[in-house]
Order: sequence, then C-alpha cells, then structure tokens
Amino acid sequence: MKLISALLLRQFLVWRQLWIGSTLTNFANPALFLYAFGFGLGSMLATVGGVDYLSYIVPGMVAYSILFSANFDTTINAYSRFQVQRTYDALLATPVRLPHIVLSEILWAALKALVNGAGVLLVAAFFGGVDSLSNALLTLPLFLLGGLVIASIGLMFTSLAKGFEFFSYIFTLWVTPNFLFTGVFWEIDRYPWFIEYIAYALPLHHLVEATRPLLLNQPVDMGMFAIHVGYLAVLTAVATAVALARFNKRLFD
Amino acid sequence: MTLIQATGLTKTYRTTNAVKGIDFTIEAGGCVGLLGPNGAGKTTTMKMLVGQTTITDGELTLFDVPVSKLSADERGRLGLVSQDNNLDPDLTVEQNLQLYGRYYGLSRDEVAPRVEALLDFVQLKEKRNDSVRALSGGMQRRLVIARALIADPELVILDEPTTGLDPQARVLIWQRVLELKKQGKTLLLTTHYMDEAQRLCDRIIVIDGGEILDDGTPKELIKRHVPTQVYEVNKPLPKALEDDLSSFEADDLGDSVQVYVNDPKQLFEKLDHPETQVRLHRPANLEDVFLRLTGRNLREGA
Ligand SMILES: Nc1ncnc2c1ncn2[C@@H]1O[C@H](COP(=O)(O)OP(=O)(O)O)[C@@H](O)[C@H]1O
Ligand SMILES: [Mg+2]
Repeated sequence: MKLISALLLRQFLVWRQLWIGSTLTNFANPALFLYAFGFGLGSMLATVGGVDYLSYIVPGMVAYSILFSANFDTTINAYSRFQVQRTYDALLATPVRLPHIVLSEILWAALKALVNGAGVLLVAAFFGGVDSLSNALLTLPLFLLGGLVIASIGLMFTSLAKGFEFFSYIFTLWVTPNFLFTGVFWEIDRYPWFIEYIAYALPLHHLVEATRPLLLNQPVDMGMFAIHVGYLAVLTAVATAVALARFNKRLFD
Repeated sequence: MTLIQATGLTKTYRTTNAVKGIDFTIEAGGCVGLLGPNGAGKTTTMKMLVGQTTITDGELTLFDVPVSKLSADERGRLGLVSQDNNLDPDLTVEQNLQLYGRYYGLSRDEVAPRVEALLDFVQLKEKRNDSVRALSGGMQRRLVIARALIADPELVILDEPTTGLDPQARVLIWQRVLELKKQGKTLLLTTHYMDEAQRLCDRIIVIDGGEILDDGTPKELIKRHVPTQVYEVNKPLPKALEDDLSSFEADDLGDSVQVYVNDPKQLFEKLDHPETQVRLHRPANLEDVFLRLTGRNLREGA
C-alpha cells in the first residue's frame, strides 16, 4: 500500500505541473459535444423516449470523457513510461514490484478520469442537463468503475503493444466504437443487429446504461443494473490479469 | 559474510544464452569488478541480482535469500546504478531522489535529509530544481548514483558507471565510488575499461560470452596470464627476432610487435639497436590479461 501510494504520488506530482492544460482539454471536448449536440441536435429532436435530449446524452458525455482520459493515460502515456522512459525498469530495481506498478497505473488513470467525468457533470448541470443532483452523486462510484475498466483495458493494450502505431488502431477500433455505437447519442436498437451485439460487448454501453436511469431520475431495473456492474467488474479483472501476465513476460523473461 | 552466491547461474532470453551457468561468491566489503566486453552478460547478471529479470536456471542468493524470495526490506539493502540513465524525465532532480526514496518505502521525513546529503555528495545542489532533461551526461550519471544510495544500501551495484563520459566526469565518479568504498559499502561494478577496473576494484571477475574466464585480484590476474614486461618493437623486426618470434609471447599491432617477457635480457639478445628498435616499454597490465583471455581488444569491442 505504501509503495502504491508512492507511485500515485509520482503521478500526482507530474499531473500537478500540467493540470490546467490536462483538465481543460478533458473538459472542453465533452463540453463542446454537449453544447453542440444537446442544443443543436436537441432542438431538432426535442425528446428521446420522453426525455429532453440534452439530459439524455449527459451520461454518455461523462462516459466519453472517462473513456478518453483513462485510455490515454494507460496507452500512450503508460507505453512511453514503459518503453521510452524506461520508468518501469527503474522502479523494478527498488522494492516496487510489477503488481504495484500495474495497480497504480490503473488506479491513477481511473481517479483522474473520475475527476474529469465529474467536471463534465458539472458543466452539464450548468447547461441544465442534470435532473437530480443527488442521483448524480450516486453515479460517481459507477463512473469510477468505468474508469477502472477503461484503464485496465488500456493497460492491457499497452502490455501487448510493440510500438506507438498500435495505439492508432486502438483509437479507431476501440475508442471510436465505444463512443459511437454504445448508446451515447441514441438507443443502440437503431443499429443493425450485429452492431447491437458489438455494443453489448463494449464497456461504455454498460456504463451508460447503468448510469442513465440514475441521472434521468428514472426507475432502476436492479437485475439489469447488476448485469452492467458485474460485466464491468469482470472485464476489469480479466484485463488487469492479462496486463500483469504480459508485462511479466516482457519485462522479466 | 557472504552477500551474493551464484551457483550454475544461467539466463536464456528466448534464444540468446546470455549467462551460461556461472559460479561466484561475493563477500561483504570492497569492490568486485565484473569485467567483460559488450554482450558478455554483465548487465544480465546484475538484472538477475536486482530482480529486473528472472533466472532461467541455477541459483542466486542475496543476503542468503534466493533473489526471487527477497522481501521488500531485503531489496531495500541494495541499490542499482543502472547502465541506462533511466531517470524520471517528468520530474526535477530533487523529486527524482525524493520519490525514489518513497519507492523504497521511506517516509517523507526520512527522505528529506538524505536528499540533502546526497545532492551534496554528487555535487548537484545547484541543480536541484532543474529538469533532469537539462543535465549533462556526467550529471545524470551522478544523479543515478545518488538515487541508488537513497535507502543507504549496504550493497551498491554499478553497471558501467562511466561509459560514454568525458575524462573529467569519469574522475569525479571514480572519486565518489572510492568514497563509497571507504564508507564500508560493498560494491559490485561492471566495466569494459581496464583502467577503471584496475583503479577501483580489489577483485576482478573476467567474463565473456556468458562464462567466467578468470577471477582474482588485478595483480594475480596479471601474474597468472602474462609475463611482467611489455616491449613494443618497431617493424621491420631485426632478423634475429623475426626468426625466433615463435619462442616469445607476442602480438602483432600492425607497424609494430608487442613482445612479453619476464626477463628483458632474452629479448635484448635479439635486438641490435634497442634504443631505436624499442618504441615503448611498460609493465604488463590488465589490458594484456584481457587480450590473452578473450582474444580481443576491448577498446575495439566497445
Ligand atoms: N532483453 C533481452 N532480450 C534478448 N537478448 C538480450 C536481452 N538483453 C541482453 N540480451 C543479449 O544477451 C547478451 C548479454 O547481454 P548483456 O548482459 O547486456 O551484456 P553486457 O552487459 O555484458 O554488455 C547479449 O548477446 C545481448 O544481446
Ligand atoms: Mg551491459
């Protein structure tokens, strides 16, 4: 625990130097989307299933900022620590062991993503897109779980990556589908059946589905809720285990 | 007290046999040099010790504990000056030291006075708030040394501490290393510089191709492998020497021949004008041992 907090401290010190830029870009992007889609598209659609369109897309926008932030930290950033800066090598000469590194990478990325996500919620509330502030607070642990799942999967990609090019595929084949096809902007049943099935597999879909009823102040289907949360937890565990195994092989063999 | 014991220590990376079943023991105190050309397996041996790579076969104990079973506290008794300056480029000089201390589990208050002392020790006090990217090669190296000392380890492993540095920077690092020796730390150092090994090490393990070729004090090694005196004789060689060259130990250096003898008389009998024919005379050194043992000149290998 002491060692993991030392590693988190390192991330915090680095982040502190750049926090304004990092926080602004992470807010600005989803805030622009919220504004453009919420007011632009929203004025045409008026409502989705009886809900004001701006409110409808808020959970997706928060999830998007988490996806973006956690993925970036655990892919490009982590890969550069791993392969370019050789930070992991330097750490492994101390009592720090690989599980400390992997857990701290994931934890830090998830915490930072949560802060960014909470920022988007604030912006959304400012635009009038959050119906229940107390429910919004309840979604924070879910968004933290969302950060953990994206971060662990990102780190798994990093443990498999052979170069930076790999991450442009990740962007196209992982980040974009998670963003577009998982019910951020509209229900996924509007897509052909195979895309619908892909969406069921993608974590962002479950994150959005788990948080949307809460944010819209709608009744929560506990069975479905458990499925969403359980799926995200299992994905986190599996991705973390794969990352550990792959890093273990690449660093120590 | 035995600090390190290797028995049949082997490392195979996928297809490369980097270390081929070596045995050695290192006692507490003094400086042991692992001397060998590039690719000899020096770094691999150190990485196995430090826990940066696994052991393929054989045994390796540190403080009488197999390296794979070392506790965090036991790891804390060891400091590594890695071959690459893998400093944290996102942090300042001072932060690099502070955080490294935290990675050893030290508290903020424990780390603070050590950072001061170490910045002083490696003469980087004025650079404390600089980014490590702004440091020269020699300064980075000194910072890596300070970093390795943050937990006040009893064993310090230095992997090529001065490779690629200019002469002044090397001398500064040698001074620090000798100072550590005086403080009673055990040092294990790799190098491919003979002068460095001869200057710093009490004992030298010569390694090449993943195998130990010999092990002893610099004096012992020289005595064991080469005659004591080296004469460099200009070409063309006098006829008498030319005809009898096979009875000497000699190396062809191109426009001259290096002849090794214990008794100079033997050689001088073959020379008619020694004062013009002998270009250079010196006592045999580790470099000569090296040529004998590895069959190649290290400086070229580097
Ligand atoms: N991570 C690695 N993967 C594969 N081969 C390696 C790796 N590290 C070192 N080697 C190979 O192992 C041999 C010994 O390398 P090394 O221990 O770095 O030698 P030295 O430090 O003496 O120069 C070399 O042939 C090197 O190419
Ligand atoms: Mg090396």
